[in-house]
Amino acid sequence: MQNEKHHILVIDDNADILFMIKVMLEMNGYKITAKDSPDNVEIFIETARPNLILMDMLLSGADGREVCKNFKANQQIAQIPVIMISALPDAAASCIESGADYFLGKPFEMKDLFQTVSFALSAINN
Amino acid sequence: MPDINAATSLSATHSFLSGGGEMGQLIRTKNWSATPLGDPPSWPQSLRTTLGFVLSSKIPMFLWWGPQLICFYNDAYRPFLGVDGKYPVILGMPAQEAWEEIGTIIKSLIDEVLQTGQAVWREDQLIPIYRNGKLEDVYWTFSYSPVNDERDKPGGVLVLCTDTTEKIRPKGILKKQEDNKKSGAQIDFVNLFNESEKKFRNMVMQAPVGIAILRGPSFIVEMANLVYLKIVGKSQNELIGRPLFETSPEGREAVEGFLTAVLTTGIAHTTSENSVPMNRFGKIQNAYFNAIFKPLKEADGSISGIIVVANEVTSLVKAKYSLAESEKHFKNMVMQSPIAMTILRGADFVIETANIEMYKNIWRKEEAEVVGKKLLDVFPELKGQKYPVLLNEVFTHAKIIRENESVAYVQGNDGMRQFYFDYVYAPLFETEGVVSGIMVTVNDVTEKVADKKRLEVDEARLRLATEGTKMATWDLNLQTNEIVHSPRLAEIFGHPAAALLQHPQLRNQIYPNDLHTVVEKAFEEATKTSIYYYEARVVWPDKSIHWIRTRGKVIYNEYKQPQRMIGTLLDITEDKAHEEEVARLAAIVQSSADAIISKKLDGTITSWNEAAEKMFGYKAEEIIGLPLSTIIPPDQIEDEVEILDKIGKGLGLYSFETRRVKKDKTTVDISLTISPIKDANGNIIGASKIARDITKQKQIEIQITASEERFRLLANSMAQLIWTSDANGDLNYFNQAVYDYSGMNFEQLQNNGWAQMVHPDDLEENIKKWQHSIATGEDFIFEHRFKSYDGTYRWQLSRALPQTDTNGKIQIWVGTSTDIHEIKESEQQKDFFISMASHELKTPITSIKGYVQILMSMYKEKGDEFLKNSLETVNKQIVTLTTLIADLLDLSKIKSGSLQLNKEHFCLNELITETVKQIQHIEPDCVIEFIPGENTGVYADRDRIGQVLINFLTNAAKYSHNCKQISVNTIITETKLQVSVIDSGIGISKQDQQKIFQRFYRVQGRDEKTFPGFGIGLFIAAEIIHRHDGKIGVDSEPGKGSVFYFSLPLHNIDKNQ
Repeated sequence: MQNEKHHILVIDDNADILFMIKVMLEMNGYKITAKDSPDNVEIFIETARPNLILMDMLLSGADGREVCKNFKANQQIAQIPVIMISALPDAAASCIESGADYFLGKPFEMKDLFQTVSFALSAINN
Repeated sequence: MPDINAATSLSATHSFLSGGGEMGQLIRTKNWSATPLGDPPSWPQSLRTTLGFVLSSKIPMFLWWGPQLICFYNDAYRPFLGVDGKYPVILGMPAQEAWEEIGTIIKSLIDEVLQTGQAVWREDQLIPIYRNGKLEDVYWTFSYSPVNDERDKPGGVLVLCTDTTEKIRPKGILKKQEDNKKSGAQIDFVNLFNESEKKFRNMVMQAPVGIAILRGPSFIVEMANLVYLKIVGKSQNELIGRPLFETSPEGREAVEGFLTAVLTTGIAHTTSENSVPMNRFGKIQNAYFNAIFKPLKEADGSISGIIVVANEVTSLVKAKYSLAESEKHFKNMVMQSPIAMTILRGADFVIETANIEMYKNIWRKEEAEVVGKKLLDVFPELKGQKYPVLLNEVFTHAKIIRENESVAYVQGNDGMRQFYFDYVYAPLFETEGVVSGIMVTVNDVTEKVADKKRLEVDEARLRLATEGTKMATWDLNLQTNEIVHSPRLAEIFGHPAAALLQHPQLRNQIYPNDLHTVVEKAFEEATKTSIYYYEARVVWPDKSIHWIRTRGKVIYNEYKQPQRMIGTLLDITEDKAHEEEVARLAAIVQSSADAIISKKLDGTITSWNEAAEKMFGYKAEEIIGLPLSTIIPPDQIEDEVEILDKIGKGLGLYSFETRRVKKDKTTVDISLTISPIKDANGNIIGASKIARDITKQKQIEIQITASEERFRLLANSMAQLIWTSDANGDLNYFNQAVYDYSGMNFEQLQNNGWAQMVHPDDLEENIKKWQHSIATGEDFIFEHRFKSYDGTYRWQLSRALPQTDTNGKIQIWVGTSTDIHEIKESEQQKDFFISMASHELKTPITSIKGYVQILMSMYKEKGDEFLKNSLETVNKQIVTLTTLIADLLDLSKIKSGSLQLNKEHFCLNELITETVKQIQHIEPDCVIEFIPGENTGVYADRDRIGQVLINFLTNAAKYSHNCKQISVNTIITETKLQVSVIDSGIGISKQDQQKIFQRFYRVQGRDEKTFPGFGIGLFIAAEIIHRHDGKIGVDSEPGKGSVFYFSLPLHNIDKNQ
């Protein structure tokens, strides 16, 4: 689409979902880096500098909200928008609190994913 | 000065104690009742006589008397006791105590005398004595002689003695006392004894009792003292040296017999109140003596004479006889008196005797039924009357009480009778001032009083009749019917006093009904009896009606032909009115459901209404005139006395609960109200009693108490916590389980202890809910945690319902708390499980949904219809599954109370448009039409309101399988905003409409299988709307369609949007 060059980092410990999201977003022309854990992800972000981070809230061995807090505390990467995904709809408030810019509840419609992602990216451009 | 008086009276009756100097005085004033001898009047004659001797003697004498050897001594002996020694304390003391220091010495001497009956003699014997503050060595010369008592056995020991210490000391024989004893000392004693012999004779001569010595079988008077001479009324010359019966032949018969016996047998003779004829001063009189005739024994034991000691008691005996005589007289008088008399003895008023009159006419009982019995046992009916109190007064205060025409009720064998008595209660004295009995004299004046009462009534009538000014007179000529009347008559007929009225005119004024039935009848009667009398009504010219009474008499001429009628006429309108008033009052009393009784102050029943007849079983005619005590149980008589006392003081008594006895002897519980009845002058003349039967009430009270007891027992045996509060919500009862659970007592719980029980997290809501219930009367239902005595919390479901009285006013709240801890815990586990499960389900669904959508988008253009349809079906089912999972989660949130609203400002029309579009997308076959009303912003949870809309719309689509025409509209009124979703589907029956918003409820029916689902969507929708303080509902008709609507109160509307 119009933002072919956009690079999105997807983090999810569920390999099926990680792959699914990757396929969906790639179908829409985004460049995707998929990671199944937040280990060493900060260094990657600092160097790779993705345009958007899409991550699950509950990651095996880590709370996505804590990870997100660290991102936002890191001056180099704090400005990169984060979309948090969770099966717990009530988690939205706590995710926003931890610094996430957007929240998407599971399960989601593919078009909702596209809408949220494109909205987040267009916000940067604006 | 009671002692002096006592002494005077003693010496008066007991001459042996008169005189006797200082010791005589001491003996008289001493309180002998405490000694073994008792009071002097009871002393034996032998002691009296001996003491008379001793006291009047100038020779030192000491007397021991009786088994205890009680000490007596005379003035002459007294110096031997010195000072600070035995004087005067040993008077009346037993020898052993009085002579402790020398007890062994004298004891052997006394014993010798008492055992042998022989006198003992000692000279200059050293017997130490405690006197002058020390134990002194004293030498005595003395004789111990036996004194015989009435048994002619030694009853005491008389001591004649002299202190020889001084005599021995100067002669220097003190040291050699033993050696010299027989020589000098004996001679001295003979001199001394001669001296004392003289003194003794002197003493005998002057003794206050008659003493004489008679010698030989012819009783020659050898010696007689002054008193004796006085007794026999002879001079010394007439008597001495002559045989006794020569000078006093008149006494021979009385005394010769025992004198001879004494002389021959040697046994003394004692007489008591013996009657002896005496010629004194030329007149033969019977004299009475207490005397002792003792044999005079010679040294060889032969009897040579008799000593006579005589005390004349004639006056005493005479007094005694006359007393007995008068008592006999008195009894005769009592028994034969025409006036009823009885003698009551003792504080119990035991009937000692009564006369015929009393038995026959008053008591109407046989002698055997009453004599020896207590008055109040024989006549228990007296207890309710004033008499026992009066008798008591007579008995305790020695008062004489008399009263005339006093009413009394006596239950004889022929029944209860009312009497009027003139009576006297007089105390009978045993001794001075001590009442031992009461003489009751009763004069039955019942007839007299009845006559008097009749007379009083007649008097009253007379007075009434002569109230001249009110009375009119008339004189009717029976030939001409001309009438002459007094001016008063005109007035009574309603005319001026001066008016002259004619007979027809008067007749015309008689009330029409009365003219025929009363007046004409009376006139006819008068022609036969000559007495004219009637009471009738007259009509005044002003049409008012008045009552008249007329009395007349027919006057005849010499041919017995009626000539005239003269009479009087009286206006009795007021009397009639009064009569009617009285009749009305009487009717009220009679018809009252309460027993109404009146009584006089003495307790006599004077009226008795029908309710009283029913309540107590007595007919009025049976009981009127009887005392009220007839219906008072014996144990309540005292109450009645108290009541009478109060009434007498003009006080009333209100709702006093007591018991009464019915005619059939059963008792009835009553509530009594008593007020005094006063006469026109304000004097209290009786009392009226209103009694209400409270037997049933009492029984009910008992039943209620029992039932309450039962319920308490029941409540206490329940494991549930049970409590009550008053209408203000203040707790006032807890069952045992509460105490056991909380470990607190009533005071602690009531004093806010219950609030400490409630878990702090639940307390605020608890108080809010409780106050709400108290304020509105709505049931209280709340789940909260209570702290138990061990500090642990357990979940309880508390419910309280108000109990109202007949007016609907709340009286009490009854609450229970049930332990739901286990249920609660398992529910929480379940909710937690649902919450977890739904979360865990979402992950695979997300995955499935994502891949399906990827597939759909990848194969959208390939033209494979089957694949396309299959993927769409999978996607649709995933939406359904997602909704179900969301619903499950919501349900568990609602259950656990954690369904949170995230309110925000948004445009409702926008939300509806969006939602309609969304459903349209899922249900492409439906035609959904939205007719927006005024564009309105609201403040609410957008997602949740959207959820309700989705639910309404999916339901509408689901249940309208054939005709999918759906419309949505919004209406704003003054108070609310309402959104309706209208379908034309299968509709819902009325009974289902009521339940459709309940949890897990789904319409049942033929098409059931067509509409799968949990049926929890509407429940959640309802919960969401309720959380917004809104309303949710449905209007529907089966077969025609339904309208689901919800409304939000206006304060949720955001006017600024």
